[in-house]
Amino acid sequence: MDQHILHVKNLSVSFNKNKNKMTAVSDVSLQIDKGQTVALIGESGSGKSITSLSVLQLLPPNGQLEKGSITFKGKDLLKQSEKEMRRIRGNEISMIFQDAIASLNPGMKVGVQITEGLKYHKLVPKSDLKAEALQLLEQVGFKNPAHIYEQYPVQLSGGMKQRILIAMAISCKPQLIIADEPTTSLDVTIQRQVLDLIDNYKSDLDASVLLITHDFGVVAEYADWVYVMLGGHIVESADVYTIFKNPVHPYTKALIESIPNPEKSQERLKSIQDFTFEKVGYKGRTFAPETYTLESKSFNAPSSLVEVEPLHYVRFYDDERKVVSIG
Amino acid sequence: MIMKLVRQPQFIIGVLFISFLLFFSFYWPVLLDVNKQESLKLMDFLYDKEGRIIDAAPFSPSQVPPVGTDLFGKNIFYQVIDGAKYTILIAIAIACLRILFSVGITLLNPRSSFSFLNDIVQATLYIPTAIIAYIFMSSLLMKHSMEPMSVMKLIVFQCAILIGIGVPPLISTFSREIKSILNKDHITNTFALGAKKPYVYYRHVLPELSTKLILLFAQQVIQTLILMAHLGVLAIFIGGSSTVVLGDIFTPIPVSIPIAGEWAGIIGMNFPKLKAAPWAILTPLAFFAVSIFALNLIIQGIQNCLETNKS
Repeated sequence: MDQHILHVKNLSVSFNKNKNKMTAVSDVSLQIDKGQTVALIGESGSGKSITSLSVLQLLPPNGQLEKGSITFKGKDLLKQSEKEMRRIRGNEISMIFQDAIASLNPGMKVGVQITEGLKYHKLVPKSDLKAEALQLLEQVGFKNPAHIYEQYPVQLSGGMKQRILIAMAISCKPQLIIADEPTTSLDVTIQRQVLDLIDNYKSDLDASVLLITHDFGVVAEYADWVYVMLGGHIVESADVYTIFKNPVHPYTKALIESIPNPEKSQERLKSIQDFTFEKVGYKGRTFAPETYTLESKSFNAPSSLVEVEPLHYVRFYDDERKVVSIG
Repeated sequence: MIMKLVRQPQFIIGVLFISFLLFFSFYWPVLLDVNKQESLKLMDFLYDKEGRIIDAAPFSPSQVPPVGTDLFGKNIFYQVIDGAKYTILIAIAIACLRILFSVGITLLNPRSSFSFLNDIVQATLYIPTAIIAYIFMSSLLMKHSMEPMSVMKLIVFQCAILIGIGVPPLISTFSREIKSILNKDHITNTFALGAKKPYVYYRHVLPELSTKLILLFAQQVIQTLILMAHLGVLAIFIGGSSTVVLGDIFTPIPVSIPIAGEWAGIIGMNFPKLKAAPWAILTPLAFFAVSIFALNLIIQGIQNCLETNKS
C-alpha cells in the first residue's frame, strides 16, 4: 500500500487552444506524506496551479489529463466517480486560492460562504452552521466574528479575505490542504499571519500541505520537501535543507539567488532572466531544460530526474550527445 | 440588487405604469362605473335625440368620446383598456417562457458555446422576426382552418411559435454570460469545496445573472409586443380570427375579427379602414408605444443599477 497521503505519478496535462494542443504539465511526479508540507515552487506559468487543479480534477474545460495517476490515501483519484470526487473535495482535500478578492462571491455574506463546505458535506446540522462559522472565524484570528459574519467580501481587506478563504478551506477539517500562492496578493506583514494559520492547522490536525509558491523565502520557513518546476517539468526535488545547501539545477540556483539579501544591499536585485545556464552541465550531463526559452528545440527533448545524491533529484536530458564537458 | 433597483425612479415609474394598466384592465367596469357588455356592444348607427340615424360606424372621437369606435361601432377606448390585460400578460408570459427555456437549455450544457445556434442566429439576424413568425403562424392557421382546434390549443401553439423564435438568440446570449460566470475564481472555489452543479447554478450563477435576467426579460416583453403588433397588421391574431366581408357585392372588404381582445387584433381588424377610421389604429398603437416606453424606463432603471454596480 502507498505510504504517501498524496502520490502524483507521471502526470501530464495539456490544453486545447485554437485546435492546437499545448502541454502545460509534463511527466510530473510528487509525493506528500502525512504531516508534511511540500512546496511546489516555480515561476508563473510553470504548471504549479494546473498540477494542483488536476489533483481536485477541476481543470478548465479545455484541459485534459493525458496520462499519469493521482493517488490519495491509496485511492486513484482519476478512477473515482464525480460523486466520490465531490465527497473528497473540501472534505478530504481542500484548496486555498491565490486571489482572495476573486475567490469569494461578492454578492454573498462571508459568514454564509464559510459554511458552504459544511453544508455540502452535511457535517453540521443546519441550525449549527452559524455557530460553526463564528468558531471558524475566531480560529482564523478574527476578534469580532459576529461582525465579520455579516460582512460582504468588499468590506474586508485583502488579508481578511485570505483568512476567510482559509476558514472555508479548513471548515471540513481536510487531511490535505493545497495552498495555491496564498500570500501572493498580500503585503509582507500579513503574509506571515496567513502562512502561520495554515501551519498551525497542519500541526494541530497532523494534516499535510501542498504549498504552491514562487517565493523561496516562504519555502525555507515552512516546507519540509521542495519540488522546483519549470515549463511544466519538475527540474529538481529534495528536502528543504538540501535544496538550500546544495542546489544543483541552475534554475533552482537562480531562484535562490533571486531572494533579496539585505547584506548585499549594494548589488542590483537579480531576476531569473539574468541567469544563463546554456553551457553549464553537471558531471558530464546536460540540465533539462538547458535554456529558459520554451521555444528552444531541445526544451521538450526526452529528459528524466536523476538522483544526484540520496533523495536529491535533478532533471537531465536523456540524450548522451547533449553531454557537455563542464562539471 | 433588488433594493438598488427599487431605488431607481425610472424602474419604479415603469413598473407602476404597467401595474396600473393591468389593474385598470381587470377592474375598468367597476372603476368607471359602466356595464362591460353595454360598453363593448356593437353599434351600427348613431342616433340623435329623436331617434333618427345621424351616422354609421366607424364613429369619430368627437361622436363617441374619448377615441371613437371601430368598424362595428365598438368603443375603441374600452376595447383597448380591456385588451391590455391579454396583450401585456401574453407578452409577459412569452418573454418569461423564452427566458426560462433559454436559461434551462444553456444550463444543461453551460460549457458549450452553442456554435451551431450562434451560426443560425447570425444567419437570421437581418430577417425580420415578424416574417419568420408569419410563415409559421400562417401555416398553423392554415392547418386550423382545415382541422379546427380549440381556441386554447391554438393559443398554446401560437405562443410556442413566438417562444421558439426568441429562444435561439437568448441561448446565444446566456451561454456567453454563464460561461463567463463559471470561469470566475469563486465558482472554482465553490466546486473545490465539493458543491454540486445545481447548487452552484442556484446559489452563485443565477443570483449573479439576476439583473441581466430582468433586463433581458423586459427587452423580451418589448420585442414580443412589437412582434404582436406586426403580426396584427399581417392579420395574424393570437387566438385566431373569424372573417366577415364588408363592403358591397362589387367591392367586398374581408375583415378578420380577432377572437381574443388583444391590441394587435384591434390594429389588424381596423387596418382595412385605416383612412376612414385612423383613430381605431392609432389608439392601440399609442398604447403599444406608451407600454413600450414604460418597459424602456424599467430597462433604463436596470441599466443604471448595473452601472452603479460596476463603478
